[in-house]
Amino acid sequence: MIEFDNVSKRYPNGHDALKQVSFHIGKGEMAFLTGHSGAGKSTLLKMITVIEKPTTGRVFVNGHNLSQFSSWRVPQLRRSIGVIFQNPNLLDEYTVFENVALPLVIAGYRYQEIGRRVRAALDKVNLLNKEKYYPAALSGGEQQRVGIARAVVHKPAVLLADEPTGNLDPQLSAEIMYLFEQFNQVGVSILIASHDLALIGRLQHRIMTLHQGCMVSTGVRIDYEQESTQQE
Amino acid sequence: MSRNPRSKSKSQGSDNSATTKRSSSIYENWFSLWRQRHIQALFTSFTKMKRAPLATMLTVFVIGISLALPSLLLVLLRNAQAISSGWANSTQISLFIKMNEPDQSVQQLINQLQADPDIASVNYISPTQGLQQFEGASGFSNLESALPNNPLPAVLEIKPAPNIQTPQAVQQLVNQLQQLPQADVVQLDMQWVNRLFAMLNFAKHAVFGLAVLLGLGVVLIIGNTIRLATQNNRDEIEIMKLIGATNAFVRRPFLYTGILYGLAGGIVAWIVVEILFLSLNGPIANLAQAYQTSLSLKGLGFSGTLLLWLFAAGLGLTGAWLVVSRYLNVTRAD
Repeated sequence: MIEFDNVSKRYPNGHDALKQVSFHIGKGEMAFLTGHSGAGKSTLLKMITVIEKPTTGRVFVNGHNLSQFSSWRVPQLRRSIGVIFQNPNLLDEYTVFENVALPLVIAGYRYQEIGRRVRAALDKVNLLNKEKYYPAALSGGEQQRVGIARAVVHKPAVLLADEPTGNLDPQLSAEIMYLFEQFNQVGVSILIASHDLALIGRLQHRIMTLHQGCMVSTGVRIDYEQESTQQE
Repeated sequence: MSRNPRSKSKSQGSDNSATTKRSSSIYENWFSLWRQRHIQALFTSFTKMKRAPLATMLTVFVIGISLALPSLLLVLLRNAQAISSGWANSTQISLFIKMNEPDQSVQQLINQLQADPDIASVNYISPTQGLQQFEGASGFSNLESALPNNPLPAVLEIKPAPNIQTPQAVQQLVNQLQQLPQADVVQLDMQWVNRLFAMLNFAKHAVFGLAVLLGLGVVLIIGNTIRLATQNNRDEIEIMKLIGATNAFVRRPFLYTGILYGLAGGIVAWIVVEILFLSLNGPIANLAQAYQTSLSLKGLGFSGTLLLWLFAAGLGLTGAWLVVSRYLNVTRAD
């Protein structure tokens, strides 16, 4: 689903954010990406959504080679990915319902369809009773759950999360992770960047570690990883 | 109760929604999606403008006044042209016939001129009639008996046909008349009409230049307003692009904002012009009465109003387009 092949990223100021990173996340797989802040986690996630482009190497998402991706196809790609941020990045002027509906509105769904899907997504994150609230009236955990509902409302094949529990207490963090596992069970590929080692250590998923831009460990399924790169 | 089965059947079909959409008329779907997107964008921009009523009103009034000035001048100019074209029509040419020209030759000339398509009417004033008219006008009586012989020539008062309107055409007619063998002097008191036309022509160019300048001002005002709006909505634009919004989707509400500003400004300009005209009509009627003519000003009219609104909306769209396209091109580099 997501594949990095010898990807390096050097920013214009000379900083090497990523150095020859290679890994592969299969369809329906859930993986964590960890490392100190500044290790390159965010840069890596930004490459999957084509906010950043690799200096060298190739990135594949859903079979598309992103280095050869023309800019007009980027919106289409982003609609097949759900993204969750540390700060939920909700639009303050819109209600919870409108925030969650945004990806559907952008994709051009019909109104009846939008209402049905938004309520289904809000139901999953247990916020159905707050659809008319504005984000400012919600707690941090609730806001993050709205962000998750927005990320999954259009049933993306890939879900990315950048420190989704960074601002939450352990109890809420565990609940959020449980939500992700539920999505994973219905076949969504998930990549979560997090430095909460205590939390992710408890979960039985692959953990990839970045250190100063280098992938020092690609987790439990190294054999699978090597197989797939040899097939290339 | 009745909603449940419907939503259920929809949810079953939703997984294949892409295929079912394609199987029905592509054109119809495309059109309804297009319409939905545009209604949405219009609604979005309208609610955003409504959210800051004072700022919106101020901008609208600035645009309205900028548009009212050239509209007002253009309408006044059109009125002046309408009135003055009537004056050009009422031009009269006096053809003085040579002294001692035989009556037969004069009659022949009158017949010839009456047959001319460029001439509407010919009025013959004999020397005797002329002298009587002069007596009546000057107050001298018995001039006819006091003078040894009548010093006045016979005169033909000629009115040009309605198709002879411009000063050039009238001048050409005068030159033709001058060539006639019976004509002594052909006189045309046209100089003031000429000057008026030249002045109106100058005014037309000046007003046009002013309109272009103020139109450009409106584009800049709206452009700047939209630029501020893009900056205030920066986070929103970024988030929307991150979840797959195309540039067109981001651009659309801003374009509608520009159109709405332009249109609202156009309506304000229309109101200003109409109020000024209503207040001018009274004094103008008094003035006309004093000159014993009937004179009424024509306002923008239906087509003029429509044109003003379309033009204003077009200016708004232009301003918004210039700014948003530039903004999106810059952010694409991120």
